[in-house]
Amino acid sequence: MSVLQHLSSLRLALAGMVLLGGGALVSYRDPDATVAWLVLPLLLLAVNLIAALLFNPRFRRQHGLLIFHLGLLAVVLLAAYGHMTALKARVELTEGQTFDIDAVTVVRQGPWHPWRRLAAVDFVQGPLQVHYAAGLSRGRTHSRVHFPGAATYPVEIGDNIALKVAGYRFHTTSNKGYSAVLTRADPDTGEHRGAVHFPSYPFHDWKQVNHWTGPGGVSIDLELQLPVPPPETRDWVLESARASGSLKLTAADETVVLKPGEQQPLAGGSVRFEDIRLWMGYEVTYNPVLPWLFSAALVAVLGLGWHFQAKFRAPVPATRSGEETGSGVLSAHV
Amino acid sequence: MSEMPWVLGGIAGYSAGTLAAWYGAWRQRPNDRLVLAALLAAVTVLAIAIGMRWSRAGYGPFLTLFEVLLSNLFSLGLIYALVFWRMPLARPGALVVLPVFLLLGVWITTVPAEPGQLPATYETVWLWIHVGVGKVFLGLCLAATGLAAILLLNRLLKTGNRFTGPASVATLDASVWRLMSVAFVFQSLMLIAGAVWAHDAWGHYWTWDPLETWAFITWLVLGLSLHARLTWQLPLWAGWLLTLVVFCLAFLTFFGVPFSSLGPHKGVL
Ligand code: HEM
Repeated sequence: MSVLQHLSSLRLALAGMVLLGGGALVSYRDPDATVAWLVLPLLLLAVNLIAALLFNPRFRRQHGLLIFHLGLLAVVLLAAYGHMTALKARVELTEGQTFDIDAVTVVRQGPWHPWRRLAAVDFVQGPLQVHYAAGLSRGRTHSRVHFPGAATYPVEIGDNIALKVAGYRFHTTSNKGYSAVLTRADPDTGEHRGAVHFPSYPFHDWKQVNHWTGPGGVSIDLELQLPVPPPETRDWVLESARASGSLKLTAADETVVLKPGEQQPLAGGSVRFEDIRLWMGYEVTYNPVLPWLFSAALVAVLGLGWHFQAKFRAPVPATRSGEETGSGVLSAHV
Repeated sequence: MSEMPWVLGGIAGYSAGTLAAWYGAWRQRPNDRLVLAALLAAVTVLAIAIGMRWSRAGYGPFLTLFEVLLSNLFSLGLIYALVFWRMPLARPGALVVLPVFLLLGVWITTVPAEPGQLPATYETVWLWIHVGVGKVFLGLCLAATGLAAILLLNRLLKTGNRFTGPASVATLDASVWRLMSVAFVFQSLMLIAGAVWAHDAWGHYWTWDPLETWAFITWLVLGLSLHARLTWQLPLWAGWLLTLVVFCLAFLTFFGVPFSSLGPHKGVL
């Protein structure tokens, strides 16, 4: 018997499945565990399956079963390719802000990920609305985005509906909050406008603080002071149109409180508190194989359905020889 | 108006079915028509309970443990009634399946019935597809498990074919595995639909969260069981035991894991 024939053994398939189950449990218990716990059993199963396809004539004769197992193989290979090319990242965008690749934080990047695609993504964050029911229970999220220069209408995304651009998907998340838009006037560098994001709201409503580098490189502590806490006993909508509040700036030992539109001279320049807006935290994903993965999985299941349909058309055996074991009769019926 | 009286009515229907099935087994004269009638009555009453709950809560029975138990009491009952009607060989399993319904029935009376708030990510057709095929999987798995458990009971108590009637053990065993095989197809569809939904809702199709891990392990153990039967000369009782293991894993995945972990599947707000 050649090595390949040994590799085609069905016993090896069983061992591979047990190892895969073990690998899944390890990945679940320790999310930082190496992917080898999953990859090695999958590799073993893939080799085993390819060998079985070559050497097991019974396997090849049963077309539905063949489609199912080939589908499984395709799913594993596609998932592996997807893993190599995928991107998982996060980005926070304030209302009015244009998507900026420099603001992206990568969570996981496959070595073959084509970065230039993300650089080509161009859209502007429009108004945001997040609905809440009593008890701070989050309902629907509405996020409008539009495309500068393009003759397309703004689109509304949120929850199950992601923004799809250049192969990427931008999913709204529960991570969102207030931002303060500030203009820094610096005699050397001129005027510069930006947004400071405060911690996720209403989750961190009690600590709406952040740091900011003011004119002349001065470090400033910021606190967004919101007059009303998030309503806990009734429905409400989180949106910047209803936001009111002031901004407390503390630099060195000096503290000032600004209302929207107010300006404050500081050592080395001045700062103007423009207004309060909302920011949305997006989960950015890229995986080019998803439609293929879905199709392969579906074809696999259809193949299996076909296999069982053909197998069960044969009548159930009325008697069986050697009643104690389970293999012989069923095989005869496939 | 509360749905509870109707829930209790459904439990009463399952109790009547259980009594009819066991009385028939004891007398060695199966009460199949009575059992089917009790099943259908229970399912009808539970459908009314679900309708009332739905209008009271404003969303379908998908979220709290109470709702999930209620919807399964209905859907598993309906699927089992269909199996019972169309597959006479599977009928001896009613001796175990109906008590399982009773167990779910007792359980539902002990859990809080207040509605929750349906997360926005639940407003998708994938919820229906995922949950629908999942219920067919669990229903078929339960039907197979009932039959396997009765076959094991016969073997353990050395009661011959007392609880299973005239059909040969081979025929009944083949029925167990037919049900499990079709269940496997639906379970595979459940995993696919779940992955699509997860991707729509959170941007990733698989993250090995507790629910995904346990659903995958259940799928793998069922695939492994189907293989083991073909590969090894497994004794029949070992195959029946494997069926029970798969059902227990599936049961925990459906009714335990989602309510004991604060994973994203709960729709964390
Ligand atoms: C990767 C290595 C694998 C190999 C070499 C393999 C091989 C085979 C072969 C040869 C058969 C037909 C046996 C016969 O007719 O006697 C079969 C059946 C089957 N396999 Fe696999 N398989 C593999 C993995 C899997 C996996 C991962 C699953 C799912 C968890 C699976 C599920 C099934 C099912 C459901 C059947 C049909 C059983 C029946 O007809 O009752 N296989 N496999």
